[in-house]
Amino acid sequence: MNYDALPTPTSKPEATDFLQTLLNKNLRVGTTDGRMFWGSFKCTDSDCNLVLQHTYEYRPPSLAQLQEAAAQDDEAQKGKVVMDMTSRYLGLVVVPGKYITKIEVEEFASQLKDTLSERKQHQPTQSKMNVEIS
Amino acid sequence: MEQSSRLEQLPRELKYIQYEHRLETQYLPAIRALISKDLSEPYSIYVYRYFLYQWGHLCYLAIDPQDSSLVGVIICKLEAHASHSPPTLRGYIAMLAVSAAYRGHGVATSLVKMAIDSMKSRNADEVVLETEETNIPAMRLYERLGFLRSKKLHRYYLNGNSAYRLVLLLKQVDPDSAADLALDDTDIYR
Amino acid sequence: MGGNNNDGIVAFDVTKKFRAAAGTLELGELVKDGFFSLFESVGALEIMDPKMDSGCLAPGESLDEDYDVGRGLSPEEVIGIIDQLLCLEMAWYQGYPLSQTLLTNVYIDRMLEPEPMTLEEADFIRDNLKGDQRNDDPMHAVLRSYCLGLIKCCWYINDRIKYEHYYEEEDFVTNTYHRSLLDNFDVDEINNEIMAARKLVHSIRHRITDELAQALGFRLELRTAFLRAIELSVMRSNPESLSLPWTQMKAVWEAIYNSRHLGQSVPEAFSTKIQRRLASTMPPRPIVKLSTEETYKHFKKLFVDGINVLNVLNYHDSQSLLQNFVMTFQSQKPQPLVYIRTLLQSFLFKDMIILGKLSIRHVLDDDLSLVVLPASKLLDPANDLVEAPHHPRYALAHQMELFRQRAAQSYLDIFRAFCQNRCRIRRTLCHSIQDWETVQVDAEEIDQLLQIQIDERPLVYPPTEDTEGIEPTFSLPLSSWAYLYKLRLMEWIVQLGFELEIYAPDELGGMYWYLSELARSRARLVDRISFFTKHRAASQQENENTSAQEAAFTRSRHYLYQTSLDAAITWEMADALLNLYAALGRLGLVVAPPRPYSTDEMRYDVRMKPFGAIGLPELPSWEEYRAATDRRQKETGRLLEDARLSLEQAQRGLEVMGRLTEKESFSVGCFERWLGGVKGQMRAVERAGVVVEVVKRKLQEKGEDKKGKELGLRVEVGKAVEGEHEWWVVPMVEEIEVA
Repeated sequence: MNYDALPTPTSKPEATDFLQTLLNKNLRVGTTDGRMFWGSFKCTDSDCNLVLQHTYEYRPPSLAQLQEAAAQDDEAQKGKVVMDMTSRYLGLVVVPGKYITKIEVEEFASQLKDTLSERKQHQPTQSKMNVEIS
Repeated sequence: MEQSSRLEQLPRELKYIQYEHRLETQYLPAIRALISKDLSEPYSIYVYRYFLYQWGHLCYLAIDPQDSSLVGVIICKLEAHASHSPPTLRGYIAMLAVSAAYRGHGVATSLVKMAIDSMKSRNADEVVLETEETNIPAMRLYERLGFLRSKKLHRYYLNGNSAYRLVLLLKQVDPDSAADLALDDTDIYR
Repeated sequence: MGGNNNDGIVAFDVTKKFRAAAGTLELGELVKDGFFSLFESVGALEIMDPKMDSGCLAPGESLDEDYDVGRGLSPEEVIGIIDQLLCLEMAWYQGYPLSQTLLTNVYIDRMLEPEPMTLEEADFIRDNLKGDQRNDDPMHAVLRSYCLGLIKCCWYINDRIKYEHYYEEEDFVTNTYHRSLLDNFDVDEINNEIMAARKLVHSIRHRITDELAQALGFRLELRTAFLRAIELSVMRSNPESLSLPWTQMKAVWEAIYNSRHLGQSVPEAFSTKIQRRLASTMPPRPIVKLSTEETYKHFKKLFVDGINVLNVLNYHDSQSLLQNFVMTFQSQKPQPLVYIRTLLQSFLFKDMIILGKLSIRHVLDDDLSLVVLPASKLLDPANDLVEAPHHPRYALAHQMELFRQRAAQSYLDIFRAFCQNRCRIRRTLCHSIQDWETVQVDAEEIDQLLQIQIDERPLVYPPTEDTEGIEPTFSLPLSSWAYLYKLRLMEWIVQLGFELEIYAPDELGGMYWYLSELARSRARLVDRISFFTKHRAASQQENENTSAQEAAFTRSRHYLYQTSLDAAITWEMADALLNLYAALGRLGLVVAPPRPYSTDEMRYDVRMKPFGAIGLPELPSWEEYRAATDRRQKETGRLLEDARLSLEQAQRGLEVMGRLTEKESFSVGCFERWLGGVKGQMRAVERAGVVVEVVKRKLQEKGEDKKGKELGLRVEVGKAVEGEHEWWVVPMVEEIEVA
C-alpha cells in the first residue's frame, strides 16, 4: 500500500481502519533521544503508546565512534561517513507516545503495485542497517 | 517500610473508592507512581490497562479527602483457572501499595478486605497472591485475614528474593475435583 | 513515493496520520491485534523509563565507556580487578545474570565484542594485531589470560548446567546476551596462554616483587585447576583423581584470600553501561555486590562440595545413595551451588548410566532386594536366560521386566527431585505422590500374577495364636515397596514444609500430628514386610541358603530395622511436639490470628490439598483431625507429661541410631553428614525437653487457670533453631516478669 496516497484520517471509523491496517506490520519508531525501534506493531491507545513485538533497538554511532571512523575513512574528506547503526534485540516493548518523533511503516516494494494491502511479515535478514550521516 | 514518616494518627478519615474508567486521567499516573515506588518489578502502562480495563471493579483507591491525593491502591483480577477441572474461579491480588506516610493505620488491610469482598460477591472460589519472603508486614497482613502459605518460590523476584504463594479459600472444595488447587506450577507472574 | 529503499523494503512516514488517527480514540480505547493479549505486556519494557529501559541515557550522558583499556596497569591493579571478577563470578554461580555480574567488566566486554575469530583477537586491545607496535605490557598479558580462563570456565559451566535439570532464572541464568563465551576456542590453547602468563609472571618477579608475582600466580593457577576440574568431571570414574584439581583449588584459594590486601581496586573497570549494548528483554539491574568475605566463604564451600560430591561415585548400596548421600548432600545449608548440583545429576543419570557404571536395573534390583526381596528368585538374573515361554522362570522374568519398566522412571524421579532447590523438591514431591499412587496399584497387579507363578503360600498377618476364620494374605512385595516410597514422599513433603516455613505457628501441632500418623503407617508397613521376609528366610533355610543369600537377608534385616527405628523416632518426636503445641495453644502462648475470611475447616482443606487425591493412606477427615489436635479429652498437665514421655522415647531411639555403623545406617560415603543429622535431631529433642519442663513448672507455680503472659512466659515460634534439625520446629520459650 502506498501510504503517501492516503488521506489523513479524520473520522473515528477511518482512523480505526487506518490503524488496523498497520497492525502486525513492521514499524520503525524514532524516539526523542535519537534511537529507532524496529518491531511488529501490536497495539496503540489514544496517546500513541505503541506496543511492538520482536523489537530491535538501533542506536546511531556516538560522536567518538564517528570521529574515529572519519579519521580512518578517505570518504570523510567529502564530509560523508557511512556507518552501521548498532543494534540489539529487546523483545516486547512499549514506546510511550510522548517520546515518539517519527513512525514509519515498512512495505515490500514488490507489493506496492497491489491495491489491496496484504499483511505479511518478514524476519530481519540483518541486524544492522546502513545509515548515512552527513 | 519507612517508620520515620509514619503519622501518629491519621489526620482525617480516608475515602475509599472503587476504580472507574473516568478516573484514569486523574489517578492512573499516581497509581503507577505509588506502585513503582513500592514494588521491585517495574511494569509498563499496558500492565495497568490489562488489569484496570477488565477488572476495574476489583481495584480500590484510598484517597485523602483534603487534597484528593492517592494514598493507597489495590489491583486484582478474577478469572477461571483452566488447569483445574472443573475450572475454579480464582482471584489474584496483583499489586498493593500504600504511601509510606500513611502506613500502620490499616489502610492496606481495608483495601484488601474490599477486594476480597468484591471477589466473594462475584463467586470467587479462592484468592491467591505472591509476596516477598522478606516482606514480613505484608505476610502478617494477609495471614491475619486467613491466608495460608501454600508454597515457597525460590528466587522468584529479579532482586534474587524468594516468595511465598499465599492462598485464601473462599468456598469449600469439592472433594472429587481439583486435585491440586493452588498447588499447580503454572506460576503466572515473575 | 516516500521512504528509503533498502533490500526491497520501502518505508513510509506515517507520523502525522498515525497521531491524527490515534487522537480520535477514546481515553483508554485500544486498537489491538486480536491475537495479542495485554497479559503478555507484563513482560514488556517501557522505553525511556529508566527502571525498564536499559538503553535510556540520562541527559548529557554518553554511551561510550570513558575507560581506556589500553592504559598501563600495575600488578596491584590487576590483582584488584581479578578479585572483583571473583566476586562477580560467584554472584553468577548463585543465580544472578551475566549482565549484572561478569559482563559489567570492561575488559571482558572488549574481549568478547566484536566476536573474536582467532585467539589473538580475543584481547581487550584489538590494535595488538598490528605487528611491530604490539603491546607487550606483561600485566595486560596476565589479565588477558586470566580472563580467557575465566570466560572459558563460564562457557563450560553454562553448557553443563543447561544439559541437566534446573530452573532458568530461579536457579541460574544461562543467558549470554548473544555474546559468545569463547565457545569455539580450544581449552588447550587457553591453557597454554595461562601457562605462558604464569611463566611471564615468574620471569618478572624481581621487578614486581616476589609477593605480587606469587599473588598473580595463585590467581592464574586457580583458573588452570578450575578448567581441569571441569574437564575431568565428564569421566565419572576414579573419584580420587577427579578430586585433585578441586583440592588444588581449595589450597590455592586460601593463598588468594590471604593476598587480597595486595590488590588495588579499579571500580572504573566495571560499568552497568555495558547492559545498554546487550541484547536483553530484561530491565536494567545494578551490579551485584558480593563482599570479599562472602565470596571467600562461598568459593571455599564450592571447592569442598566439589570434592565431596565425587564420593557419590563410590556406589555401595541403593539406600546409601538416595536416602543418605543425595538427601544429606542436598540438605546442607547453604545448599550446594547449582553447578555442583549439576555435577551430582550428571554423575547420577548421564546417558542413563548410573554413576557411569551401573544400569538402572542394577540399582533398582539392589533396592528391591534390600527392601522387600532379599535372596528372592524374582530377582535372579538367571530368569532372563530362560527362552522357553512356558517355563515358569520365563514368566517371572517377563513380569519383573514389566514392573521395572513401570517403576524405574518414578524411582529415578525421586533422585532427580532431590537434586533441585529446596522449594522445588517439595513442590515436585507433591506431584510425585500421585504418580506413586498408581505405581502401587500397578505393582499390586503384578504381585498377584507373580504369587501364582511362584506358588506363594499366604500367611496370617498379623500373626495370632488362633488363626481360625482369619483370611491369610500374600506378601505383595512390589506394591509394598511402592507404598513404602509413597509414604516416605508424603513424610518428606510435610517435613520440608517445616524447613521452608510454610506452616503458621498454630498449624504446627496439626502438621506434627499428621507426620506422626504417616510415620506410624510406615512402621506398620515395615513390620508387615519384615514378617514376610523373616518367614521366607526361614523356609529358604530349610533348603540351605548360600552365604550370599544369608548376607542378603542380613542386609535387608538391617535396613528394615533402621527404617522402623527412624519411623519410631519420627512419631515420638512428632507426638511430643503435637502435645506441646496443643498445650501452648490452650495456654494462650501460641495465639492464632483472627482470620475473619476463613474457617478452620477450609484452611485444613488448603493445607492438606497435596494429599487429598491419595487413597492410601486416606486423608483423615476434618473431624478426626480436629479431635486429634485439640486433644480436648486431656488436661494440659497431662499433655505436657505425654510430651515428656515421647521425648524420652525419641531420645532413646536417637541414641541407638547414633551408635549404628556406616553400613548399618546405610550411609556409606556420607556417614559424617548423616550423623550430623542425627545429632541435630538430638539437640532438638533435648531443647524440647527443657521447654516442656519450663512450661510444666510455670503451670504448677501460677495455676492452671492462668493464660498467656500471666504464666510468666513468652513463646516465639519461627523456624528451627540453628544447630537443630530443620524438620523439628521447637518453640523458643523465655521467662518474663509478671506485671
